[in-house]
Amino acid sequence: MKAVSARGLTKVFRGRRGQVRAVDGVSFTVEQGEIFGLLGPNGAGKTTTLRMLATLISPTEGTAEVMGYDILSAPQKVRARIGFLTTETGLYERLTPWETLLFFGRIFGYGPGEVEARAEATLRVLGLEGLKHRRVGTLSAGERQKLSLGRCLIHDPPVLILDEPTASLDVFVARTVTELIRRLRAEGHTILLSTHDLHLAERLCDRLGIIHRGRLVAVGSPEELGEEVGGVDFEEVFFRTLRRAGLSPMGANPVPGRAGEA
Amino acid sequence: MKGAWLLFRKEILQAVRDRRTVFMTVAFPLVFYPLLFGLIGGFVQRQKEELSSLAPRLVVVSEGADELVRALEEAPGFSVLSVGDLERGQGAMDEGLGEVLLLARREPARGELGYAVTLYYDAADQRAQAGAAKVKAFLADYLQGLARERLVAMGVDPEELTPPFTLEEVDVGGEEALARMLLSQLLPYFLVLSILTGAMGLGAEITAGEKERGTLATLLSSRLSRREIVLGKFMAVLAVSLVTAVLSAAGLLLGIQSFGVGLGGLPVGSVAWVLALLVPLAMTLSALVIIVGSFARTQKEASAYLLPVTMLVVVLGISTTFGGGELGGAKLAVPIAGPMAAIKQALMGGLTLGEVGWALLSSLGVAGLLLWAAVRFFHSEKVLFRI
Repeated sequence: MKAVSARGLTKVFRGRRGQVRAVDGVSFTVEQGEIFGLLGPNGAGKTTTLRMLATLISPTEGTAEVMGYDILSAPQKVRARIGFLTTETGLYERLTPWETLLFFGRIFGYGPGEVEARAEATLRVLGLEGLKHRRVGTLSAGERQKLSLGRCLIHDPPVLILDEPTASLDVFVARTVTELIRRLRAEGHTILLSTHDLHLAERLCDRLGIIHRGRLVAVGSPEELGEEVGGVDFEEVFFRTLRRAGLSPMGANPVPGRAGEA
Repeated sequence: MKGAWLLFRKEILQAVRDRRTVFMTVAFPLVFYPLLFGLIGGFVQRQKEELSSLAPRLVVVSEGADELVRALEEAPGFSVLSVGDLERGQGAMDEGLGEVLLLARREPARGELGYAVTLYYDAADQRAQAGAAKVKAFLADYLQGLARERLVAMGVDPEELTPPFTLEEVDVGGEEALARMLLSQLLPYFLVLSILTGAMGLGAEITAGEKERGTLATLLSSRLSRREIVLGKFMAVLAVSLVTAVLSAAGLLLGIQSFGVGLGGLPVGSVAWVLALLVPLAMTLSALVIIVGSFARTQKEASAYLLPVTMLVVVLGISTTFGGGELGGAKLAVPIAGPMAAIKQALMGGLTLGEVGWALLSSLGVAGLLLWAAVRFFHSEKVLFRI
């Protein structure tokens, strides 16, 4: 069973100024125990794709399964099997880390003794034991991000969906977070993340989906993607992949590639 | 529904840690209302004493009515300034030398007792009003005295002409009835406003505010069902609004006591009805706040949307509390206005169990409908991403 299987996911937003096709027929699969990254610039459709998988919004067309459960017909079962980290930390400022973890643990059905043991263990893994009774509002951005990850992990979900997990973090905290993500993979979690950071994607992800203007233009490991377009570094691979798909990173489509480029 | 209970506990924990919520829920009703009513009470009392001991300053213009003017000058409690004509009299009034200008004209053509008296005073000025009332009472006595003298001069005993009629006024209600009347007018209006204040503060924060801070997405992607989320939030808003209302009522009672009016005789039954009727009132308003707050994108937007709701409630409150038309029987089923009218009736006495039933059932129905709509809205992605 695939951890995530998306088939033709499409999302059209209709507003007063007309409609926007934010995600356009995206299909991909994520194997259990791998780190899969959706890589693309801002506005590419990464967050919308993740929100559909987290059942926060419904696809206009297509569907997806998470751990075998359909996001449209069994959203509650999907939610029980994911931990979703939004771009905001999504934490309650007036609660402490301890209360935050207990609250989310209880929501997922853990009993009193069990939830406390899990909260203790999670705080230890995150290195937040010393801050467990401080109000979240007084924590630093890095501490909050770690706690947000802890909040996603408290019910030990098989799939973690992380939207830009290192965005706006300093280099030290970002490194801690990426190490934690690797550790979670080693413990058997499947991680689906979005990022616009090319180097993070290359270093961290087992496989990547490059997304631009709502379309998934390539899927593969960083090495496979490099072999396909023949770039010297991953940045070059990214841009060559977009050009090969007839998508300009900046201007109007299609933009012809430079002479000699794939 | 365990999830709703967990969410309720979390919302309450956050609310008691929020200084603004604690101030609006506890400190404001218990400190502000007694202080406000204490100040108003003190002011009213002082004004009452001042007016009763007022010796009105009269500017008098006499046109052949010297006898009347002399009687005024001799009467205790008046300070009389005589001037030559009406123009000078008006000048003296403009200079602030008197509260009332009295023009007394002798009119012998109308008989021996013929007088024409005109009073000029500013009806918007309480001192002038009180002064004019004193002058009118004096004139009535004076003219009656003249009539009696004339009857005696004619050899008629005035007592023989007076019918054996006595009028006595007894206030059977006493101080407590006055207090109850005051309470029945003020309490429903204050309660509905305090429920709304309590509900709006927390309600906007835990709906639109959660959206703004990004925590609602976290909740929506958790295992909690949409129904549990709406119910948990509704229970929290309901609890805070009820606490605000009960403490506001306590503050109001303390304030009314400071008027010097005793409330010892307020029946326990009436108090119990009032407390019971708070529930349907708070249910409707809390559900209303939840659905409006959920629709808004930001807390600021929620406050803007709730403004017309507040205006509507104020209008309903004023018309129910001070309006002439009585709501009774099945009419108590009107949302918000019904329970308010029932509270008024409970305080004045005469509320029946059936009437409470109407208020309770209709409010339950309305709150249920609003919550159902809120759950439906939470099922839609518009609750998070409304363009």
